[in-house]
Amino acid sequence: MAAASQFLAIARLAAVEAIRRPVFLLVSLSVVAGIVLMPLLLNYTLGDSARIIRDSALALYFVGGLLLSAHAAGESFSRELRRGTAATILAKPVPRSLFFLAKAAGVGGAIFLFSLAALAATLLAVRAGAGDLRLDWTAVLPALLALLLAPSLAGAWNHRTRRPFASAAFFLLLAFLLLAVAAAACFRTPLDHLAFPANFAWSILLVGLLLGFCLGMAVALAMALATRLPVTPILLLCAGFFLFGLMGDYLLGPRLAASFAARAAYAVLPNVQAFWLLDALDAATPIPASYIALSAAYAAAWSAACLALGIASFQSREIS
Amino acid sequence: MNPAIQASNLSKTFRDFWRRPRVEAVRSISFEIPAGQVFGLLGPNGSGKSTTIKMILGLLFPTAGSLEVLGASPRSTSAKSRIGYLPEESYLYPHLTPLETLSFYARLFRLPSAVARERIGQLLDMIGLSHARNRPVGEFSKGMARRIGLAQALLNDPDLVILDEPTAGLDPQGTRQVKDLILALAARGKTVLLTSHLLADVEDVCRQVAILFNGRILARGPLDSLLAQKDKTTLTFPTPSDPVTLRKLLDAARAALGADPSLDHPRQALEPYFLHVIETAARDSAAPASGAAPAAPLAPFLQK
Repeated sequence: MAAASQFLAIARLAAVEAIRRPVFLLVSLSVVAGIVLMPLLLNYTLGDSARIIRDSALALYFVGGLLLSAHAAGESFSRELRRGTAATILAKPVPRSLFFLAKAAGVGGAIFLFSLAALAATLLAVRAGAGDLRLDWTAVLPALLALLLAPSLAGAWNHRTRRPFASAAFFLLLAFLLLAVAAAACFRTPLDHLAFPANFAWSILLVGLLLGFCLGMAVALAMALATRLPVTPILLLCAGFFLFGLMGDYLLGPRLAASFAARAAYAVLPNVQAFWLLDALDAATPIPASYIALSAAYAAAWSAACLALGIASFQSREIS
Repeated sequence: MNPAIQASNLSKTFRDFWRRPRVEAVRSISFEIPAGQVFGLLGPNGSGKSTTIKMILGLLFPTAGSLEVLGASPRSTSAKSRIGYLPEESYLYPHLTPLETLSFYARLFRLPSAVARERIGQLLDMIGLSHARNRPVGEFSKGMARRIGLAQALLNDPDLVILDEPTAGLDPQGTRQVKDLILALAARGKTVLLTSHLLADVEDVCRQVAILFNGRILARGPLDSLLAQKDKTTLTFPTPSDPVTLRKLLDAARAALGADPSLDHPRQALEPYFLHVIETAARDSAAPASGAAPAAPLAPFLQK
């Protein structure tokens, strides 16, 4: 119980500190704004806008999440080791493995909240742009209001109470986006016969969930790297790892039978393709629960391996 | 009684990326700090004081030699639960308030919430920051942040208190309070290890010191025996109203010793004089302070 209390205290603080960083708000606002504004920009210019909006929104969510995972892990762990706050904590009766895992959980929690915001924005944007040359304003307006109101109210609150602006703005953005989804759900979309009968394309959430697993892997990798590296190399290595992971089938697939090195690289690289199931959405093919369970198991095993390496690395890390 | 800290041939060499020796920060030092003593680790910048402290806390690993802290390995959490550590810089989360900061550290010490609440209240009163308990510590002056750092080091009522430059950044009142605190902790049988560049502060509170230079201990022992000038004696008496009496005394001393004695009025130290002036002014002024409030008595849980 005592260890659980320590774990929760460190994890909670890591999550809050990650969300309080201006970069977190900046990336979150950019991703949400990019997703929400997409129907306004695309609906009157290109055909097949619904699919483009959906694919672009999920891609934005994934790239933003990847950036935030690497940055938050680096800031939360690597920078704290250098700044000295970690030394103060580790001078207390806190095992290093618990400290590391709690930090990872905290960063993972922050990324989970970002994912909720991005997926809520995606649901609204896809509903808004479901029909070419027409917009569903019952989805666009609440989303735009959320985007505008969150920073404004957070600014006023900061002016009044002097409490951090960035975290207030993010939490308000998340709350308003969830409220926007609820508000839009109260109205039947005039376009629903075009795309989805139940007000929202809920199947997007399944792909979002799979991409969320992938972001969990990114957090684990970034945390393991943060035991030894500063923020910038973590960002570069994470981006490289997941880029090669995305192209793993294409680059390594033909060589798997003949080359041991190719098989080893294929096993080590995160198989991002397995989580990118937009083809299933295009073909309106249901994603089986067993596939989601297997993907979750793969992500958990890969993340556990990264975290184990991170713990081993951190145990021998000196904190000066 | 077992020593609180026992170091034997302790060495620390920092290496570069290629594992080549870069800096030999501590070179085969041995020392023992008996439980219940106030021990000062002195030395110029780069002499190895902070490296030694970080090895004692299990943050750095010795290259050679052995180290025992409270009868256990420095990395053991059981030993760490009995240690309070004030780092050289007050590394705090700037967005947290003093209340949140101390609550966080109380959870790391696994204190029951009722005990934590009581101690946090007492410590905030003791460091004079009760009125600022809900302000983010990022807005604090260095001295105020230092007081929070001191409070977090005392939350667990530690048996061993390690204070790295405890009076750095504090005003004279805060400095006096820290010194009183160290003496009070020692009176309760706690062991205090402190480093400081302010030698007058060390002299006020330490019974034993070790002087480090270039990673080696150059001098070690009880402060009284290290500093006493055994070939000289001071005699203090009330200033006579008649100058002739003084001259007679001097002549007698010169005749008896065969040497010229020196004559001077003893001076009080600047610190008590300053504190007297400030305390008098504070008593006469009703204006509230925006920084730390005047020093309060020791937290009750630290007096038991």
